[in-house]
Amino acid sequence: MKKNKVSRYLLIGLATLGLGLAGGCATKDTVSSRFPALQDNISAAKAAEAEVYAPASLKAAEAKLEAARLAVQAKDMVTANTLVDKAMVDADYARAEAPTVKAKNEAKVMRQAIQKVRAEIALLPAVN
Amino acid sequence: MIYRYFPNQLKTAALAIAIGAALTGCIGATDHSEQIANQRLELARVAYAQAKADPQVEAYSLRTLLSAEKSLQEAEQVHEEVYAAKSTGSYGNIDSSKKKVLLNDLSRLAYISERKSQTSVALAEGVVARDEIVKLGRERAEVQLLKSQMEQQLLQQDLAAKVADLELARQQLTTATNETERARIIADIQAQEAALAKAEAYAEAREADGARALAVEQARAAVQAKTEAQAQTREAEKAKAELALLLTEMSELQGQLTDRGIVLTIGDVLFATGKSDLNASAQRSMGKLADFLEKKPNRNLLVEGHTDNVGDILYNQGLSEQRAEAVKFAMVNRGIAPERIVTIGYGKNYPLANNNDAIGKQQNRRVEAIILNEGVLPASQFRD
Repeated sequence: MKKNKVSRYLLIGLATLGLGLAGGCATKDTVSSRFPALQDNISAAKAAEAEVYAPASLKAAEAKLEAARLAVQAKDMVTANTLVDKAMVDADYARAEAPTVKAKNEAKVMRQAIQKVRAEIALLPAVN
Repeated sequence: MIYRYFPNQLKTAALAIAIGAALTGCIGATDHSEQIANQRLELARVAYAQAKADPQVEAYSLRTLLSAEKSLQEAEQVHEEVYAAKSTGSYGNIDSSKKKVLLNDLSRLAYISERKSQTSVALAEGVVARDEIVKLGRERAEVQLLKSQMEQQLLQQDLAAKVADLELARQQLTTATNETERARIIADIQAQEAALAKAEAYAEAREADGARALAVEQARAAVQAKTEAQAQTREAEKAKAELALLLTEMSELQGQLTDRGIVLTIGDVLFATGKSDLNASAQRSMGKLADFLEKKPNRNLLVEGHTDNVGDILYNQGLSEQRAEAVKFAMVNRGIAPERIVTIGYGKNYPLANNNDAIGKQQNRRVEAIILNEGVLPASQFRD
């Protein structure tokens, strides 16, 4: 009987400790340390002219970073972590997309320039 | 929920739910967050399939694609976890908070996979676009040069005509006796000389334009050289990615990039002791290697057998040749053309480590399968 009582207290104690640890883990700020790396990634995307050539994915990353900051303030670390994960891949995409769009535009301009020169050649009088 | 922070995304999510529900006919059977997660997974699957089907992605951004694949596999595992409970009827028993965590995780992983797939496509398209710019730059320089040459020819033609007219006028002056006629011819000559001087000045200006265009072309060529150097770097990256892919599939083998290509080392433990039979573990790797060679028909295989210094020369030579042959046999059995594979036994001549202890000896007992760079013939790669 006494043994059962001890076991019950032990169980309650362990459960309380477990809940305490779980609660602590859920609200402890493990996300803010990830912000600088994310900010660097966003800056790298901007350096690749993402504001001009990949604005949607860049804005998606910035908005998620801001939302993650709010989530940290609200002590919602699970959501904050998720947002940082997603913002990271948004910024990666912006970094890849921007130079690609820029290169495609450049290629288009070059094709048009070549077409123009060819048309000018066609208008030149024949050489004797 | 992240949607609390993104009111606009709620609209997107609502649209996604409607499409997803319409597609799956599940309206009413699943809740809101589950539909969002399922829709997200479907988008990730589509994005991955599109990236995977693009040969440029495999060539230029394989690593990102592999990363997308990994995230998608993780998402599929979470999806299975959710639906395993549903199919066994215990879905209702899943704690709602656990279900929420699983669905959030599914949504997160699917999003990451989708973005990585998109990134792999963007990276590959970027490489293709930059290569196209180089070609277009060359083409533009060529047509500009052609136009310039034609204009120069027309100018020279015009100058020659003016010089001839002037010469004719001067001849007329020598024969003219009437003062009025002489005065007219002199005025005509002066006008023609002025026109010729103007035309010559214009021709000189065009020549200067040509020199500037040449300088621009030289600068473009310099940029092209730089781009080509970058392309070589990309090729090196591609080779690294290929090696990474191979090694993830052939965990039993060691591999490294060399000037000759990818060198895979088939260690002694993958052969029966003192024999040339490949064991079951090595056979699995041989299957992966054959798959790789099938996908890369321009790459040939050189197989080198090596031993330690135990035993006589003839025995070691024979064993090294037999083991190299065993690898070739395994490849040919899997459909690789025998002419693409050359074997050679080097016996104990090329040790990797010293033969003073058991560890060194074991390292020396090996077969090296060298996946040669594209277009390289195996016989050109024999050791001296």
